[in-house]
Amino acid sequence: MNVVEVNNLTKLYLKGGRRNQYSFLDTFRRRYRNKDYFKAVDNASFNIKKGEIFGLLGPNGAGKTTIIKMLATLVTPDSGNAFVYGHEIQKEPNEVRKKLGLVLAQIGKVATTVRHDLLTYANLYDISQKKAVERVEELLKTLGLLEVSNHSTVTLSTGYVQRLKLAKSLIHSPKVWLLDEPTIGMDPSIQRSVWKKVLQLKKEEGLSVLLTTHYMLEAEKYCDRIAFIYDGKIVMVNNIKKLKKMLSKQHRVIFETFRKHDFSNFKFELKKVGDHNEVLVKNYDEVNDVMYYLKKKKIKLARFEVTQPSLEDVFLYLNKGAKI
Amino acid sequence: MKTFLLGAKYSMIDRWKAVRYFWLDYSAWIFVWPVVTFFMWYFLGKVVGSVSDIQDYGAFVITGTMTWTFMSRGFRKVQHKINQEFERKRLAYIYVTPSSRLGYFFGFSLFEFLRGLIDASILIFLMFLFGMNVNFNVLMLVLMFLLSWFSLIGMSYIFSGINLMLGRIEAITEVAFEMLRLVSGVFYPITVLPGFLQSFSKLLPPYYAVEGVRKVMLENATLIDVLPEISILFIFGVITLFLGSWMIKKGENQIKKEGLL
Repeated sequence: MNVVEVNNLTKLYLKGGRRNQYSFLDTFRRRYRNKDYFKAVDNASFNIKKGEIFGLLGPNGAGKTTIIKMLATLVTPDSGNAFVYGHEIQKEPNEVRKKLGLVLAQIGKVATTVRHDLLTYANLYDISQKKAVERVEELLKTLGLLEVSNHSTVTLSTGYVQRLKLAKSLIHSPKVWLLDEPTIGMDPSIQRSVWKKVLQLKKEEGLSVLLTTHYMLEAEKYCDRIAFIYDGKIVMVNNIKKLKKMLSKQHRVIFETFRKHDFSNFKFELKKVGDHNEVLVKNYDEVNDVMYYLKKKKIKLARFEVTQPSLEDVFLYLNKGAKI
Repeated sequence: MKTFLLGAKYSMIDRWKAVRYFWLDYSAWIFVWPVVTFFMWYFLGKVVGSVSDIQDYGAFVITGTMTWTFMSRGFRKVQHKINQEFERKRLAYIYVTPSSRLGYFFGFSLFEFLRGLIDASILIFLMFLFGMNVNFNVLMLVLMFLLSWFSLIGMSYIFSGINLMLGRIEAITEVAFEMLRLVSGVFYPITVLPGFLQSFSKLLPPYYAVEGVRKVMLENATLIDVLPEISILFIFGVITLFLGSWMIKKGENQIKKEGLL
């Protein structure tokens, strides 16, 4: 069952938008004189099934947040439509909002304590006081906020602020969770506990998740399916295994040398990553070629390994604008 | 209606918690401001009263200032709040809930009105304590304060809508509002103004609000006595509230179109 259906969503923005302007006259002038638009999202289509974690990956400015905001009814699409549990985002926004929990990268702090902030926020949904108190206590516990529950939200560290945003978005037990870079700024242990909660909600309540992230490992580990978005266009939607299979004919050769060497006449494209070098080769014969070259040049190796491509390789491969 | 009430309830609780959180700052504002205002005008009233035709200038100007405060709460605070929430990127978290944004803004404004009643009570208490010539019906006075506040909410919504549509006009509306004070009769009767300014002030609600409150507080006017003022303030409030709600909606559509939430 598809709980979210996105059909040909398109969003146009005026170039040099209002954010950079300093006066309303400037806004006025730009709006009526400048008609130069760009497509932030270009005919995006995908769907999310019940209980599925769907990842939206792409470089900065690709249109990931705009898609999330359109689904959350915060941005009006220029064309196309989208449905959340059968409710059209533009025609029945309040029904859509009841089903959604949203975590944006922007902060939006309120000067009060963590517990009060959550209890107050519950008033925006039709939740009884008793139920709200129970829910808040549960969220404080599961998201590791109990120790700062009486602290001011203004003094919280980035990780705690992020957890507070997650708690707020879950206050009304949503059916679809829209997460825009949710674990940014969190330490690994908290990231794990957040994902534990996500997986628990997915299993117990059939919660569906739309996630944008820059952490490839996170997407690889938790997403059921992934869409790659580049320049507003969704270039590919697939599950992780299939995506990796696309590059499975390739192998990544990683090697580290004791000393600096000149690889100018090396026949493969060499990429320097930190202390080591990486080469993408098509088959084991080419792996042998790499080994033969290194041996011929008498290069002493500190490390040599051959691996399968990761999701990061897929991401970088697609970002090069390669046609699939 | 349900979504309106949800929004209004949230903003009132939100404001109450903010007051509790910053109780020291707020208590300074709530208690110090009326006391300082009272003494400032009380002593100035003694000086001005000795040379003017107005018998009790202190009471005259204090009633004007009090009324102005309610109008300011209706106009300035709501507008400031909407703009602040928008700039701080907090509006997105309100807009993503199934509650009414108009309800949210209205609830905030109502809280400010209730806070204004505390200020007014302190001022009135001091007026009695220092033997000023005030004699009024409490219900009539609350009604006049309510209408003073209500008459400018719609205007506030109109300017907030424009601000959402175009951005950064708050400074201009602040100046315009302050200029209204000059022609509203807060500090002096409008009869001292040039003829064209007197006509101008009679086109706007602040003059009727100040006049109405003075009649109730200083002359113990009844409902019939202040019916013209009440009617004008109410009609102006209702018309501008409808227009303002429409403008806010337009402003919201614009920021959603431009992706600014």
